[in-house]
Amino acid sequence: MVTTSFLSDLIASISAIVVISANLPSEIITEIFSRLPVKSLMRFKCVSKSMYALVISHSFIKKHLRQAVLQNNPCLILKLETHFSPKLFSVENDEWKLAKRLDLSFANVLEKIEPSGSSNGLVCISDHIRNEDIFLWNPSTRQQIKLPYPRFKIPTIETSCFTALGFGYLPAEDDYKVVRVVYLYDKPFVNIDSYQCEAQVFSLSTNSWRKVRDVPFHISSRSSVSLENGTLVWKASRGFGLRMTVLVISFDLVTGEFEEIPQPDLDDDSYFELGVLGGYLCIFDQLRNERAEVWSMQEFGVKASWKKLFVIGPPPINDGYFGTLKPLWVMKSREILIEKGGREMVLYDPENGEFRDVRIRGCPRNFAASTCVGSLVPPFAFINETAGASTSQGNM
Amino acid sequence: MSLSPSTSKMLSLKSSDGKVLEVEEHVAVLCETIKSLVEDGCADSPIPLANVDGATLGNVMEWCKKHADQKASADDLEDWDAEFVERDQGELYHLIMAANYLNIKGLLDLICQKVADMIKGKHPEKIREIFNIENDFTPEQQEQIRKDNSWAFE
Repeated sequence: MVTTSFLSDLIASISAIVVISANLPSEIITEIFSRLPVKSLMRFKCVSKSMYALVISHSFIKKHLRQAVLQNNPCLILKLETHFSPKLFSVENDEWKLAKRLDLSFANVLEKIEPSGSSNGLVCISDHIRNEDIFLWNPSTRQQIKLPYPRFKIPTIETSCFTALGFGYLPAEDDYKVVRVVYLYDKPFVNIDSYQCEAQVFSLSTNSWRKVRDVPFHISSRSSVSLENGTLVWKASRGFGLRMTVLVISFDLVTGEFEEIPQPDLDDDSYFELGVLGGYLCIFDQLRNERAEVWSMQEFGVKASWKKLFVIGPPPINDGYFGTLKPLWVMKSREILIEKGGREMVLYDPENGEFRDVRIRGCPRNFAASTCVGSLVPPFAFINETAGASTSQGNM
Repeated sequence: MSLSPSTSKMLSLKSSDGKVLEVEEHVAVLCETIKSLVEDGCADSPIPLANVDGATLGNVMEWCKKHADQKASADDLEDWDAEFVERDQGELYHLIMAANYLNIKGLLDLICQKVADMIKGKHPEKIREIFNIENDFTPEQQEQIRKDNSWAFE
C-alpha cells in the first residue's frame, strides 16, 4: 500500500488536470483511457503526475465504469469448491481464456471465502456462516477494506443462528451498502416466522452500521442479488416442512423496507434460483432435469410483467452427469453465458438452442462462477477531490 | 464522388488546405458541427473547416456516407468499421482530431476504442512517447508508484 503522506504530497502537487498530453486535448485522452482495462491503467499511473491524477479522480473512475458497463464483457470470478483452503480465480474479460489465482492473503481470517454479490466491480466476501468478518474488495485493483465488526444483540452462534448478507449500490446516494440479517434458532422448528431476528445496514460512505426496522420474512438464501435501482432480492420461506412456501422478497436500500415480490406461475414442484440478466430480476427454474426455464421481471414488482425469456432443454448430459444450469450474463451477441454444473462455462444461443464451450485454461475442476465488472471503483468512500489540495505542498 | 440517384441537397465543404468536397446534406449532417450550421441557415457557401485537411475530410465523409446508409445492417457496419480503423498512427491522430472538431460521436468512439486497443498492456515509456507526455515524477516517486502497482507489470 502507498504510504498516506506520499499520496497526499503527490495529490497536493497536482493542482488540476489541465494538460496531460502535448498531442491531444485532455478530453480525448480521457475518452481513450476510459476504454482501457484496469490493469493497463494501474500501469500507466507512473507515466506522469497528470496521468496519475486522472486515473485516481472520481470523475474518471465513473466514466471508466460507464464504459466498462457498455462494453458488456465482465470478468468471471471462480470459487474453487473445496473443504480446504479457500481459493478464488479471476478470468479477465479478454474472451475468458485464462484463470488466474487471486491473492486473498488479506482475508486469511476467513475459514471459507464466499462472494456475496458484486456491484460496479466491488465484491463483498465473507464466510457465509458467521458473516462477521466482511470485506469489500475490488479484484481488478486489488484494493480491499474490512468492514467494522457488526455489533448485534443476537449473538452469532454457528449452531443456533442463521445469517444472510446483501450487497448493493444505491445510485441516489452514490453509496454502497451491506445488509446483515441474523435469525436466532432458540426453539424447535415449528413456525419459521417466530424466530427472533435482527438486521443492520452498513453504509460505505459513513463507515458504520445502522439498525433496520423489523424483517417480516425469514430469508433463506445466504446472499442477495442486487438490482441497478438499489434493491436487494433474496429467497425467503414461510411455514415449515410440507407446508413451507418459497417467497421472493426485496429490500429497498432507499426506504429500508422489506417487501414480498410476486412470482410467475411456476410448476408446483419447481426449484428455482434468483439471478439478474440484462439488468432484470430473473428466476431460473430447473424442472426435474427435463428443462430449465428462464423468467425475467420486466417491470420490478409487477406480476404481469414476468416474461418467459427462453427454455433450455432437454439439457445436454456430459460425462455422465447432469449439471444444474446457472445463467450469468447476456452477451452483446445475445448469447447467454451459463455455468454448467460447476464444471464448465458455456455460451447458449436462445435463437437456435446451441451451446458452445468457453475454454478457460487454469480453471479449477469444480467451481462456482459469478461475474464482476472490471472497474477502478475503490472499496472506500471517495475523499472530496479538492480536499487533497488543501494540505501543504510537502517535499515535491 | 459518385452521383447519388436521390435528390438529396449537396453541401460544399472546404478543407484547411483549400480542397472543396461536395457531400450530400444527409451525409454531412452526421457531423453535429455542420448540422447546427445547416439548421441555423449558415451553410450556403462552401463551409470552411479550418481544422481538417483534405485527405482527412475525405476519410471522415467516407465514414459518414457508410453510416448514413439506411440499408447497412449493424453487423455489416461493425465489419466495415473494423476495416476502416486499420490505419497508421498518424492517420488515426488526424481522424480523432477531426471527429472531435466536427463532433461526430460514433466516429470518435470508434477511434478512441481503436487507440485504446493499440495501447493496452504497453510499457509506460511507450505511452509517454505516443502521447508526447513528459515524465515529471522524481525517480523516488516513480519507484514507489511502480512498487505499489508491481502486479500490473507482470
